[in-house]
Amino acid sequence: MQTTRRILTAVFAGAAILGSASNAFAEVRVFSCEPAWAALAEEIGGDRVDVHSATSARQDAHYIQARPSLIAKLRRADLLIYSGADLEVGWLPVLLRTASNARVQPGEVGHIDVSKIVPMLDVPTRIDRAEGDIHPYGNPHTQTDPHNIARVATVRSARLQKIDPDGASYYQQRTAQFTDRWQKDIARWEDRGAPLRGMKIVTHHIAWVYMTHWLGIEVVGRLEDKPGIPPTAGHLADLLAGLEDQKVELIVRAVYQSERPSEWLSERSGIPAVVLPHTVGATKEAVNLEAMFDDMLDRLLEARHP
Amino acid sequence: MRAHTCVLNGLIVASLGLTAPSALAAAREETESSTVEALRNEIQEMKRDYEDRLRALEDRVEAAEERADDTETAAAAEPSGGSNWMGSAADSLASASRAFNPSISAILQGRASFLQGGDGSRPLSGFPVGGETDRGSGGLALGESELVFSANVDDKLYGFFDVSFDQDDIGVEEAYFTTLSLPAGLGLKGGQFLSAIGYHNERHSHTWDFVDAPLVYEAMLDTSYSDPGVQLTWVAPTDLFFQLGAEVFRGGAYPAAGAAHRGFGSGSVFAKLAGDLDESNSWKAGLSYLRAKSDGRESAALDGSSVSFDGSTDLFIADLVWKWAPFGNFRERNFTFQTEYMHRHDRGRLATDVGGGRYRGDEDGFYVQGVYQFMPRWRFGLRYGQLWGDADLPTLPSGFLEGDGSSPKRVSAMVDFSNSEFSRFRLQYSFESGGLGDDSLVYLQYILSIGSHGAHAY
Repeated sequence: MQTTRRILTAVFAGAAILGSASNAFAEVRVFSCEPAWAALAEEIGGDRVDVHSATSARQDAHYIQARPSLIAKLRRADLLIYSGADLEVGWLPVLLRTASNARVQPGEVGHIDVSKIVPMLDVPTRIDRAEGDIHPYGNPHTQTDPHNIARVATVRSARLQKIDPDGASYYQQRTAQFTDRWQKDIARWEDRGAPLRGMKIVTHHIAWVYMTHWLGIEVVGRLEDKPGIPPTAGHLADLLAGLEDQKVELIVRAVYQSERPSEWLSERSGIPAVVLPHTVGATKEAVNLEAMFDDMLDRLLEARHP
Repeated sequence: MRAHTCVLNGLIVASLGLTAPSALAAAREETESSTVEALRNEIQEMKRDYEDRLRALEDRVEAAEERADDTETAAAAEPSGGSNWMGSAADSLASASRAFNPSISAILQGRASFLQGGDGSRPLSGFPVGGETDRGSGGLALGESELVFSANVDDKLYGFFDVSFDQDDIGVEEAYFTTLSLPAGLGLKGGQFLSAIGYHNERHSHTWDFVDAPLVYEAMLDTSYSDPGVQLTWVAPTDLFFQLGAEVFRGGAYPAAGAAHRGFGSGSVFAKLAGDLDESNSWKAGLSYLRAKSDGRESAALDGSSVSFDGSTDLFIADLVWKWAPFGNFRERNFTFQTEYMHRHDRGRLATDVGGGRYRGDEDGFYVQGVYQFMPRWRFGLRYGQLWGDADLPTLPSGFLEGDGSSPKRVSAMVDFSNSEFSRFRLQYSFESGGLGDDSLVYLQYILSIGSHGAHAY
């Protein structure tokens, strides 16, 4: 028992030291499940928020371990924001239950589910897992349409004002600035993206519907036969055979997906394969939200006009 | 706008259905020209009506988007149940048809076992009291198939109910509630649940990395310790995860027995510490202590006769887990290392067929395992476990309980394939020694999950 007591004392002391080192100056602690919403929180919250992103662009947000370090972060968060529609279903419920944080539970001011704010695409009419890992509430990869970013910005700002009333005018001002700039950006992107209308692409996963819907791009095939089930050689061969008379211009994947299937198809079909930024940090150019969409259009346009 | 448009379309169709019959009935009685006129008026009216409705709905949708106050649905992050029905009309309509409350899932497990040296529970030589391995049934058998219901009870509580069915019986695996929003990082759990001691104890069998539990868990905890009880936990407000917890149990399940102390027979305390080394590496470590009181704990001696133990048991567990995935992306490749060490001390009296008396036993055991997902869907794992027993049995014939005094061991290798996150097929080979002989065991197993998407702890 003597040793046990000693170990426990050491553990307590260690935790106390590490705990005191964290950021104590920010007014609002934001826990975002994806980097895009974290970047948005920084745009609106500025110096008044301390933002933590649970995942990075290199990670598939559907396959995250409910790491205790995330529980520790959520335990102290004032605002939780996540894509929703079952994207984080394998880990976020565990974090919410274990963190015992009343401020971020469903229904509270500090709980934002993006899928409840933006209009959802790909809402299935039939739910059968023979179709793959389908999401009953629709496709969760909403951040690839800048209109959705604007929608979330408004809600986010309102919530921050409620949580931190002293900073209300600060948030309002930053939101106004951001929205103003963002609307101009959207106009510019839509102008630049006009030649992309009708372009045919193949994607790895169903992660690009909001982008293709926004820009009028047509997805004619997917490397994953069924969503969430890794590409198989048989399906890729079928896909290749079907591409011959389709005039497909690009094979698109996200940075967290294996490059092998898209490179296999690219080599045999002669269609270029590219990583598009699906979120902030996904490419070295996509350092913030604006840069992410700039880079997305750069990469798409480069394929359209080689 | 598709979700909202769907709702609007639905409303239009519904209102058409309601108004169209009356329009037609009226039209039949009119002359042809007035029929046309009447229809035109009707259509105009309907159109105005829809426009009003559409406008009203659009306003509401817009208001929900912009106002962003509490009425905007922030539905639960639950698999599909646990939803919050206080949301706006548009959102509730959109999800009502797709959501279940509670979320329900079924786990299907089964296996084919090829067991050298026989099946069932077998006493461990050199491991005096109570320790046994459970190999399950040989041949084709149903594994632990489970039916799970879970949902938020209300805004303060979450409920979980899990019944398991196997070859021979039906049992409550877990049935508990937990609080969601006690202040200061406190959490309270009550009901029948798996104790949070150790690392492996809380895991359900369908999340195990091998067909069977580690040898040390079989010997010291009869696979896992689950009992009716209450648990209080506290998560420290630190960046490093630090959790303290205490539990009180009825004391009816092994290593306790007989629900001593008027039904407050065992208790535990535990501390867990965890963090991330970098983006690719994370770890968790824990120390746990369980004290269990036994009133007539039955177990089998090596010759199959019955042994009954009255007394108390102290169990110490140290556990360590390390997980690695390149850039934290578990989808492609990942590796998990885990090890636990246990020390158990039994003190009390034994009654056997050949006599009884005072008894003291000190038992140690550990396992170490690594599981590597070398490509999507495929994993490979190795595990080694060993036990040591030291018994003080002054009044009993030597060798009656401890056998030849050898140290039981088991080494296992497995490979599994998951077509999707909902299915897994496993092949496992184990070699056991220190039982009643040296035996090879081969298992083929399936684990399937249907219903709502589960969430798993670290």
